[in-house]
Amino acid sequence: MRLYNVLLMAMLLAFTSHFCVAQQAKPVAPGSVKGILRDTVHKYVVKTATISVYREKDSTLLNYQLSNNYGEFNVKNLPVGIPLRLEVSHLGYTTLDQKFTVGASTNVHDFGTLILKVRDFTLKEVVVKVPPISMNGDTLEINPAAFKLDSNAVIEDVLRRTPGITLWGDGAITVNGKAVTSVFVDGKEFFGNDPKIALQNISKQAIQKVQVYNQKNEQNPLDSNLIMNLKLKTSKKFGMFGKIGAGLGTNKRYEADGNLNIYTSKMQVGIVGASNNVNKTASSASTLLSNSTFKGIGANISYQPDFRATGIAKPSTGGLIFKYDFKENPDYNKRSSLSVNYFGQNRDFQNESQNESITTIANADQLYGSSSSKSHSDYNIQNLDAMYQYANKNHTVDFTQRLTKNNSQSNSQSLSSSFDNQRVLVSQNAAVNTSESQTTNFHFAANYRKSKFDFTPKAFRLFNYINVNYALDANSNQNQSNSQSDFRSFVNTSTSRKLERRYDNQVDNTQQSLVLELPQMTNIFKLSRFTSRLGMSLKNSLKLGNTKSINLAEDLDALTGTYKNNNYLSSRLTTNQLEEQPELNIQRSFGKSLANRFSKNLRFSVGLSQSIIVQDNKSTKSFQNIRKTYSRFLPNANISYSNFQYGDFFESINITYQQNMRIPNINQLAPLTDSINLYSIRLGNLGLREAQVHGFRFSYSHTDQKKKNTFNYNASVNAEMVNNGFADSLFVDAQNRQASYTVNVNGTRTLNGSISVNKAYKLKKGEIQLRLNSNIDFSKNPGYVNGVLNFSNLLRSNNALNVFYTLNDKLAVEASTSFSPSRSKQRNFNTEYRGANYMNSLSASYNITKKLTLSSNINFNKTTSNNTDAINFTIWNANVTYRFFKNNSAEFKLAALDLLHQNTSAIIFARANGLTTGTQTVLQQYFMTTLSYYPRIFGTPDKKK
Amino acid sequence: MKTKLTAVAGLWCCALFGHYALAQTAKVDSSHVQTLRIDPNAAMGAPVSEIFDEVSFTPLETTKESLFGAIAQLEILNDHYVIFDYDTRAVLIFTKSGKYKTKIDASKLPFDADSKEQGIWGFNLQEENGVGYIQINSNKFFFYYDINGKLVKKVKPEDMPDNRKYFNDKVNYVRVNYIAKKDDSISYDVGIYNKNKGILTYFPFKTNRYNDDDFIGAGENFWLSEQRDRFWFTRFYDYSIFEGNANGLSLAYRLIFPMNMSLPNDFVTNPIYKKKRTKYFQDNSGKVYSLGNVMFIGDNLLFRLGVWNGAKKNMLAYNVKSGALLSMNDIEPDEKSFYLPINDSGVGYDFLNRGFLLYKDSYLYTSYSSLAMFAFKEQSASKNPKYNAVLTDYFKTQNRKSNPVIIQLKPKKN
Repeated sequence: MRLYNVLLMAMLLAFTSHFCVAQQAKPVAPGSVKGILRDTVHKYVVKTATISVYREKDSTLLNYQLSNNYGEFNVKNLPVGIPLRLEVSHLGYTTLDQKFTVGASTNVHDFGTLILKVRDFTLKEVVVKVPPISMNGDTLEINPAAFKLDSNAVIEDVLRRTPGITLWGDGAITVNGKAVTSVFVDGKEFFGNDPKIALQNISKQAIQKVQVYNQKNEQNPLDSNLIMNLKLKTSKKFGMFGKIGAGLGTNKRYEADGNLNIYTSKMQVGIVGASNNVNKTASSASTLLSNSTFKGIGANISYQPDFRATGIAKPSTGGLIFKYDFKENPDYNKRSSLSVNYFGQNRDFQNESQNESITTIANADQLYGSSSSKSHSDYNIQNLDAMYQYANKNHTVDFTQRLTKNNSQSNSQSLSSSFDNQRVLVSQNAAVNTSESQTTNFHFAANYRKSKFDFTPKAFRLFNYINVNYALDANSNQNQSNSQSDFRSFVNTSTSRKLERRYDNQVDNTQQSLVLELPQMTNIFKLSRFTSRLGMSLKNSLKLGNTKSINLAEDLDALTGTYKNNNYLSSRLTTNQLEEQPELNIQRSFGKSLANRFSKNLRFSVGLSQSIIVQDNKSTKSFQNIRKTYSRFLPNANISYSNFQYGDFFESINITYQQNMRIPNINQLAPLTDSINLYSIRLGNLGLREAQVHGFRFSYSHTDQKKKNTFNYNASVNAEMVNNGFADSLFVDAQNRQASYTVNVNGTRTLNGSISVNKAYKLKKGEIQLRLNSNIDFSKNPGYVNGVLNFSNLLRSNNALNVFYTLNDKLAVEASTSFSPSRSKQRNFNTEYRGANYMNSLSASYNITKKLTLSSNINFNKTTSNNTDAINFTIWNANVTYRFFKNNSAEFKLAALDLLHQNTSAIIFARANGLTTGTQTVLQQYFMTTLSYYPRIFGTPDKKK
Repeated sequence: MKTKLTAVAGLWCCALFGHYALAQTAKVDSSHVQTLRIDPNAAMGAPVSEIFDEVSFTPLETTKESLFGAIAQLEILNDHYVIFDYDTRAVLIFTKSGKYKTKIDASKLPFDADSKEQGIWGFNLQEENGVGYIQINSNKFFFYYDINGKLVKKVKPEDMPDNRKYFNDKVNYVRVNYIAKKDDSISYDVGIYNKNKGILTYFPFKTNRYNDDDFIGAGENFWLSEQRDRFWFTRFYDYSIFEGNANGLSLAYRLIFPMNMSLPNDFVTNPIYKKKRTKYFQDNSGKVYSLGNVMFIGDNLLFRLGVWNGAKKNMLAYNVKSGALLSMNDIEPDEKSFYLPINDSGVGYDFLNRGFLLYKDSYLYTSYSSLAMFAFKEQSASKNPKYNAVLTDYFKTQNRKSNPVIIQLKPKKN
């Protein structure tokens, strides 16, 4: 492993030293130009004027700046000894043009005082030149027309060249250190909420200006959201963009994807489709859109062949995105839009696996198992969702609807063997399963919110704030399956048996919930000095659920060769459940602020709620006719603190305690016990009670407000303590036949902690971002094995360090290292299972020319465990892309994946009382050539001036 | 916000406690009105040394006890600065050189068990027998403190003059938001008491009008002249400046702004704007909605424009003799001001929001934060300013989180 670390560091050093050399060989331009801008008519200096410096020869923009409070400018990094041109522009003044050359002896050209002439609006100006950036009130405006870029440039290319704007390797955008929360096109989201879709597709020519401004933040009044709005030119209010691509590779690998998107001032429509057999699975239509933009640099992590995934998947995907805005220029307080999305996927999946497992059944008594299985499944998923959103001043309403249909077919074969401590074969089970399942889910939700701030001192304000949420979920699942099981015991041959069973299960479920909330009802409680300072809110949630299940089971009669109804396993069950939970929440806030210094806020809240759940089960099996009522007082409490130090940092701490109740379901209370798989039999327990969960949560975050080299970090801890928690009581016999049921046990504990640290460094050329993420999961799980209570302690941790380097749109390099240990320890049995996964990776993408790009990534993997030898493998991928045709609209790509042919299929995972190791099917080396075409039209062509 | 409003409303009600004289609506004298055409965009700038004879910066001492937010109200009493700060709800007293003396905060108010709100929302200076006092109103009492922050006496409002401002004759006075007696349904913008004429009232309105419509002002609508012989008054959504004295109220100036900055003529009368004014200003953010902070210095009429989008030139000085219009936001720092601006435009919002704080004994006063001071110091580094001992020490020992700085300006004679 150390070797890999050394190698990784060496590669990193090689990259960085390359840039050091490059910088030394070609030093930063040393020239500068300065001056003071004056308006002699009004007798004052001109603040926030834009000063741009161009190369005289070809009018290339070299640098620019805004004049400061004293009307001064000092533009640096200019070449010395060549003719340059200075342009000063400001709304209200005629543009000033001056030619100059920075002298080699001084490296400074001082204009002294430059006088700006007030623009006479009565005279028609022939040409109005636009500056690259300007301030319009509190809005920063970037004017793409002032940037001389090639005709293929997209709006992201402009942003990369704007000082103060940083496009991070992970997709984040910051303006003077502050993160942009939303990117809009003409005030609207553009084909979903991924900024890449707008920034990497829309041509620079289509944008009149990019506006950056602050918008109030509803969640945190102390903070504001930074919005970036791309304002389209009037002639470019409609457009079309997309991609069509297909590739063929070795080992019969293929991939194809296409999308076509059209927008007008009110409507957006997109069609997407994709198919492959290289484990590239998209979960939504927008994932596909995000990963097929016209111009993108860096690693596209979300849609890549997955070499670590189990099995080989062949997904075929199609989708439609539609959005209609009833208002052409919506704003925060006034909007009305309808969006409809369709997504369909057909996925063929194949896997073969071999596993070895160790299971502890008592102190120093372990069973060894081995199994091999082969499975093939076919999934069909269809998703249709629609959303209507409306906002008018104090009222917001939204309706959402989602319809999902899943069909799947699968068949699998497996052979499992069990060995005792001396590794003598004790039993074997051969199983063949086929199943077919159809699921339909329908979801509907309607939400209404009223928030009316009233200045009137004496107004009755009980109903100024109202929240109403209604949701309906209707699900239907039909499952037909066939299981064959051939169990052979070598210890007690009388227990050997052969079974074939057929199932037909139908489950229909509907659930409705209604939540009514009066979030601010302080005024009516102004009884005394004390209560007048309290905030109060009242909330009631009511849930009604109904589940009907019809189960049919038939066994094959070996003698007659016909299926006979299995009376025990066939049943009809109806479960009605009612949940009622009123809650009174009392809050008290303390604020302290000092103008221009800080603003601090401390808030306490206590919630008092009572939860009542009535569960009524009616079944054709009398032992399942169970009616249970649960009632419990469930308090919660919260302390939150925020500290905003102006120009310095924003810090927040949140501590929450919440009590919850978990109730047992009918399958834990009184299931129909199916003995088809003797290695896993579920029994019931009528004595089960509800579990009480005490949850604690702590979170801390620190956000830098500095303009350069931002340093942000946050941490969180979640802990849960369960009384009367649900745990398994497992019985394993000498032949590894396992039966279990649920019991109430005290002592379940879970703890999760995570830390994330982000630091950015702005270099003279390019930018470095460091990210450290670490999380640790610890759980203590009680459980009985053959009547002996055992606590199994499970520890999993994941630690990763990433370094990201970007150099304009030329180069992106990412190096990362991660360490993920896991440990499972059975205190009473004195056993311990350990495993760890190490991964180092380096990926880079380099644009050699505007048409040719080279990218590569390499992953070093190492997996260890205390039972087996370490597994090492390296995955190296590389590809070359070449753009051609007019406007670079076509692309040829040659990709080589798993170049070293090392991807292994090893798996290791720890369980509560054991460890499993083995191999599974994974994707391995292939080469592929892909041809893509990007059709792009933005409005009507610009008129030649 | 709510508590603040309740308290303000409370104070206001308490100020209305019993008035006895019979009120009658008087006629505003508009025979000498002058019409001024004001185009804020054409307002001029000027270097500090052209406008002011003297500029001095007084950093207010920062200690754990004296730390406060911003100056909301400034007065001078016995060579001391008396300051009200909203953040700490305290009246702080500093010497003229900026040394902290003492403060009066809620903890120093005698506890009043019946009072709903025990806090400080501002102060008045009162003179009795030639001695100046800092008067702080609670709901039930007026507390009198001396310059050392010592409680001298407390007076029940009934035994006390109300919010009256006495003219220099110490007999006649003026009351803004005049109400004849508690619970009257009609109030008046202005009530002038004249020993010979009785109470003269102007501009009646329904006392509960704030429940029925939006009223947005542009700072102080009442400003007593330095000699206390006359006052200036402005109204909501009205570009008129009224001048008043013990004899009555007259319309002194009517301002006309460029079309794109002016409200519609029927803005006050047309019911379509009722309760929709805030929305109108949001949508028409460049319109001047009201005038405020009117004062007269030499031949210059100073006033503040209320504009929703915070116009860059919102504090103007109009020379009534020459017709020259000066933008106080665009006064350029020079050697006289150590190259430090005289207001915080461009870095902070104190001047845009409050304008000048005080005009007394031929000096104008304003202030800005240390955050702004240090930002300006960085920006003006290239000018190599020669700071005086006070500023040299300030920049050396203080930081961006120190107390604000008072800027004292002596305008040139015309």
